[in-house]
Amino acid sequence: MTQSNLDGEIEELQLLRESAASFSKKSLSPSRLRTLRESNLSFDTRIWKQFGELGWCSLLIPEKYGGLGLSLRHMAVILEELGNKLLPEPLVPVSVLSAMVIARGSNEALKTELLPKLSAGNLIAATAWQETQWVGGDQTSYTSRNGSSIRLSGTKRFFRPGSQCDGLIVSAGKNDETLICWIPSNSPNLHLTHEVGADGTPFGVVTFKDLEVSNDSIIATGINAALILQDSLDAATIATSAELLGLMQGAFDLTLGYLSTRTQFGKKIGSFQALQHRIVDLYIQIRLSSACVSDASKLYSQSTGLGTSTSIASRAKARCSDAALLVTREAVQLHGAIGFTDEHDIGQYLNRSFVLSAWLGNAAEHRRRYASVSDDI
Amino acid sequence: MGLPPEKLLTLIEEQEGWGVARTPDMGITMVGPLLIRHGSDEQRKLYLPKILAGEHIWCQGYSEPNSGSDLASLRTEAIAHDDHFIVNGQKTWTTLAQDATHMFMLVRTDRSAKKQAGISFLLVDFKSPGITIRPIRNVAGEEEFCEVFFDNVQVPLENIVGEINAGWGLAKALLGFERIFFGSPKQAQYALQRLSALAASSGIDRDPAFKEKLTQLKLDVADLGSLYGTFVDTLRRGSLLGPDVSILKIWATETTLRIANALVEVAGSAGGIRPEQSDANTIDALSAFYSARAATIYGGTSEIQRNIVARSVLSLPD
Repeated sequence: MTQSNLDGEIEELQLLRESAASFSKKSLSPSRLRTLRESNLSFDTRIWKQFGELGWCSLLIPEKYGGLGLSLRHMAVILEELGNKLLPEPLVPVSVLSAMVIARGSNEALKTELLPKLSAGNLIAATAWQETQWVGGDQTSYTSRNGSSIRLSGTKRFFRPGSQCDGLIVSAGKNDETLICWIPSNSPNLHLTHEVGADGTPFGVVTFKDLEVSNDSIIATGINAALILQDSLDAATIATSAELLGLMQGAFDLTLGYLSTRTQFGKKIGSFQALQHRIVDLYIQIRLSSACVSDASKLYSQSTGLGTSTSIASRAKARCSDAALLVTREAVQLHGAIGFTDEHDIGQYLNRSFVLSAWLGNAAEHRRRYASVSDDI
Repeated sequence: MGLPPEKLLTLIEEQEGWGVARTPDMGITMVGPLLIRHGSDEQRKLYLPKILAGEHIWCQGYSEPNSGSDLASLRTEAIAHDDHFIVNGQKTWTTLAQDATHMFMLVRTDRSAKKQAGISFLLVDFKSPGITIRPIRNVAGEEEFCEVFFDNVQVPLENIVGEINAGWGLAKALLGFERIFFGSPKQAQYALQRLSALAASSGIDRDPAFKEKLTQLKLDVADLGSLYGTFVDTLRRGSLLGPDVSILKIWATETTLRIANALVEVAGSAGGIRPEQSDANTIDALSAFYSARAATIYGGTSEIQRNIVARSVLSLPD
């Protein structure tokens, strides 16, 4: 009905999609966000365990470390289906962003220690790289090296998941002075807190003051570290776009259903042409988003070098962020007053769209980035 | 050349990308494929070689003064009489009729049947007596389309394509293909090229507000490309285009219009000057605007396309 143009999807992806769709239908629900909020948890560990069993946590991890060694195209399809019913579980932050950073690093011992646990779904790792509200702001954390360890000072914000983490991947410095390291959550002098997202899920905040990190915990350094971080963020950006795509499809389906059943003035409100035209415009944005995510995940999966997908990642995130906000905003409007209640599912879509569209750069930020990295037509 | 649909699209796209004027190619894109699929052997033998040789130039006779969006209400009649039809009525907005040798048209062959059910698909030779072609000047000052009057025009019975009174279905089959042409990103890309060039030569490309606007337009065009790709993939698999192809026309034409609006704005005072000549030194902002302005109207208006999507894709209630 409102699905993207799926007929041509290759069989392997189709099967994965069906599997994720059936999981979504059976085990996920927008109302879970409300439940989690009330119980002060950021995600359901039982659902996460099932992701582990299904292999979804390990999708992007190389087979050598217990992963499936599949591509972003595969992950995007799963995320789209799970995102449809809203997904508080940190599949993107942990199994895309963090997994990729560690896997591309040069610390073999650390990879052997962490990646199998990540694959099995037994480790929750958040990547704490951002400091200011604008993505791409200067790194203010700095390190001072001293033989066998470094000392970290600074504050990181907006990392996900914002709680229930076993450890953090932290970046410091920039350009050829970039450094990425692993810090277990139980490290002393680690001040962890969080800000509450619009949908009730936490965004993490961490402060380090002269925190000692041994060299053994360094994942990557120098310009290579900067590239690894950038490229993994691009992958996570595309993955988040896929999740946003699912979200907007779920909100759209709910709204279409409402328009087709709600009666006022003796007619189904979906028969009013003004509303029909409005919802068609939402449908167009969803189709654009879908085509975009498909091209982005395909291009990323085919790329041979780090940092070659920045432009298309920005294109996807810009489109999907704007489209999701538009669809959920309009969805609330089209539902009338009930759309503005916490009790109705459609409001959960609205709040979740704020979280995902803002994270890793919103539409405006990505338009700026696209302008600066793209060739002129 | 026996090009499959997606290769034909590629050929046309390349031409559009360079701003090459479209030749009057309705024979190739509409009549040819129609006759191949639904024509009689005699019709194929008679018309296809002439289309390929460029000897016959075809124009489309659909719209009438009182039948635009509501095309099925058309009133031009073809009444059977011995071995021929007598055709009376008027077609309008017929693109390049003044250069055509033939017309494929929709005529009413059964007045008592419900709207669509009494329409036939008829091929007419412009050499037939009783046909008057009157070019219409548009706001751009060009005579790109015409009124065509039929006064007791005799047309052989065998010029009906397919079954009598089954013309509406054939016309609908052609529309899908037409809509993917309207949805091609090349026109938007060409307009964007001109906008970027004009912005660069005027220096406004350094203005942050303009840059933001230009970036959004670039993204809109890039995403149009991705969307268009999904429909081309459908054709490539040998599948038929569904009614959702309407979204392509909406997005492509409305994006091109936004670009054209920006072009007029960036042209400043030159945005008020008529594009009489095109040379390297003249800023022609209005050409793009005029052609974009028409595109959301012809081939099914944006409003009609939205109605189609609402009804046939989203199944919204009447």
